[in-house]
Amino acid sequence: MSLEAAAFWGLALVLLASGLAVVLSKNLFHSVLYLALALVATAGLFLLLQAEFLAAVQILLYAGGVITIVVFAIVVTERLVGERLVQTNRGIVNGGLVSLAVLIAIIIFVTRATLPQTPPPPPADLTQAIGRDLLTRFVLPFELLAVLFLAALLGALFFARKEE
Amino acid sequence: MVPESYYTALSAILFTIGVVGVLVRRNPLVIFMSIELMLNAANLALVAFGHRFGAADAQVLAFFVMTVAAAEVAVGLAIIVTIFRLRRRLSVDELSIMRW
Amino acid sequence: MDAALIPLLPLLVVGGTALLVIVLDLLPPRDRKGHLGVVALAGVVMALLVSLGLWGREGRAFRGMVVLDNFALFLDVVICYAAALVLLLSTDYLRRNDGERGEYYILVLLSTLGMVLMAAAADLIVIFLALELMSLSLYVLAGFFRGRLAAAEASMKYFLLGAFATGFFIYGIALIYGATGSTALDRIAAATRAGTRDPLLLVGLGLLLVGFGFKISSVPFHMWVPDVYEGAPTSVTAFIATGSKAAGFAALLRVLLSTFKVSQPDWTVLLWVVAVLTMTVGNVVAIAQSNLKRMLAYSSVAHVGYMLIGVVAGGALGAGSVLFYLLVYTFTTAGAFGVILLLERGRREAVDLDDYAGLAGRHPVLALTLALFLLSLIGMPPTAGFAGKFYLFGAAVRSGYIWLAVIAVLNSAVAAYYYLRVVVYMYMRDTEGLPTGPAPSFAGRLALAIALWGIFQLGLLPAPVLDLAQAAVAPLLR
Repeated sequence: MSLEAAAFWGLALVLLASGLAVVLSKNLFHSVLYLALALVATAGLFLLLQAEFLAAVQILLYAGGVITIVVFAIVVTERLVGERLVQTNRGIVNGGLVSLAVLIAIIIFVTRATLPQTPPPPPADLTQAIGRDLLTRFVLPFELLAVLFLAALLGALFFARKEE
Repeated sequence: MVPESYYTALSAILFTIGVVGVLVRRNPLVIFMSIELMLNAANLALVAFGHRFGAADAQVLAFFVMTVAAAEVAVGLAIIVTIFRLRRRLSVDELSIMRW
Repeated sequence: MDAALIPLLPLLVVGGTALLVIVLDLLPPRDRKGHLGVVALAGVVMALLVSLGLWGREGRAFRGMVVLDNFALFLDVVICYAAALVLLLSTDYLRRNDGERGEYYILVLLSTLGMVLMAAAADLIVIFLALELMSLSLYVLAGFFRGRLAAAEASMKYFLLGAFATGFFIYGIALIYGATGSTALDRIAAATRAGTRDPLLLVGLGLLLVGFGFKISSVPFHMWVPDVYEGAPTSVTAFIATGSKAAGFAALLRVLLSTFKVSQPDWTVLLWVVAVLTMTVGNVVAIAQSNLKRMLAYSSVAHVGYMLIGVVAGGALGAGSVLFYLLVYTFTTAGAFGVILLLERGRREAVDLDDYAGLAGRHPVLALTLALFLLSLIGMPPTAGFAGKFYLFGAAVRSGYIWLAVIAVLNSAVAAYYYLRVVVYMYMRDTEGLPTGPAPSFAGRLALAIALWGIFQLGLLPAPVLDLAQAAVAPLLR
């Protein structure tokens, strides 16, 4: 087994285990820690796929930013409610059945998919290519993100502001 | 070398775990984290496909998904915190005043 | 002006107005924000006029990410009408509910921007971002009355299920990218024409349809509709019911008709079933509702079912009648929610059926107006609802979907029961000593007048607008 294969299987195991733990854990705080682990494992997989830039963004933005906000939200809501938030479940059987069907369908199709057999060589410097793409081909979506953030900022501030 | 289809299969399983989480859990924060798993799975699939095509655009798309997820976090968690604040003030015991 | 920017003109007008309102919001007066509503309305009307002025022009911008065609322009008009009616209804309503804040108008404009962009997007990633812009703004608007638990719950539910739908949507995009190597609609179309029915592509399309299903609220993805429609401020409910649905149908039609033309046999079968389920579930559950907002919520689900008939029927007539119906539906639904909004007394919404008992005696004009909107929802001639349904069901018959048309007609008969029940309450029951509400504001009356004009204009002279709608879908069918 090559080093790459070993790394893949290791990361895949961590990713799936922590993903399951997010969903199954009874403790809200444990869930968010497992989510952080899953996001970091994904970053590792990005590295294996030669997506160094994305791996860095993933760690900074997701594992850093998103997780921090979620932890913050948990702390605030626990303090407000005054007791530990214990999770409850509903409709496990239904949910399980639906999900199983989704899983089987996706796996069957995805693994059978016809992809080009030999990948064309990637651009010499992928990060540079991403930067160029962002400001040329994808400049409209890129600008759109700014508007999206404006809306998100307004919305979040609106809820956070004290009632006058 | 690990074939890309392994990565896509992995992402499909992760996506399904996320869907299960949304369907079976009640706590809004956990539902939200499950949705993050789904988006993460989509990103993994995108990057794996992009690797196969040898193109940079898949990574640009994944970058967009990440930033959108961040915007969603900001708004979503503000809404969730608002609810908890109101619920304390109104001392409503049940989890939801409306049918789910 | 740079010719390359012309396809973006309606977008630039709406977006520019949003920025202007943000700046104006910072200036005094601090306690009254009604003037921002006027500015926002002026921007939306301007966008409407610009869209009408651009009719017939074609173009692309930003490397084909955005297109200008009659389809986008027609939907722009529908969306701008929806936004304008909502803005007219909002100012006085917000003041009465102590919710007068600048953010409201900014977010309405930003979500309008997202909707207009959805109609013009020619790349899945732009559709995705536009959808998010629209949705994020609407999540906040749904919870705009921060002190009310029902509004906050509506906002949370809308957010969680919307984000869930986003997950499906983006995974669908990922799979389609995996199958074709692109997210540009024309390149996907070229890849699908190449032949083999790639399973990856079909699953991707399926997941995409799940995402759209949530946004246009078709069964089985409609479970958020009643609670969100009930809990959100009524003006926002009207906007969610009209504008976001029009935008969802716009992107759905463009993706299905122009990009996945090859897979038409596959998605037609699927949508046939979804259409039948959507209208039947919507109508049957609506009968059991005693809350008018919930009843209209389920009725809106049923109307999505009718519109899906046009998508199934396909062709210029089928798709054109969907656009026609979207316009009809916008006037009718915005009008019906508008009456509910204007009848509100103090902080209590007039949402129970009993609140409408004897309304004809207390508010004869409003009662008559609501009755006319309900008749249009039933599909009675000479209102626009009749013309819209006639074209939709006719398109189904012409394409050979006789059974679909039969089921739809039966559904309309069932629906007549619960709409007419409201009319009976208004005209046949005695007033039970309920106080008369405040007199509607000028803007509110203007909104209702525009909506009434719409349903009679489209009801009495439908043919010219249907021709325009058919011309609008022509670029998709080429």
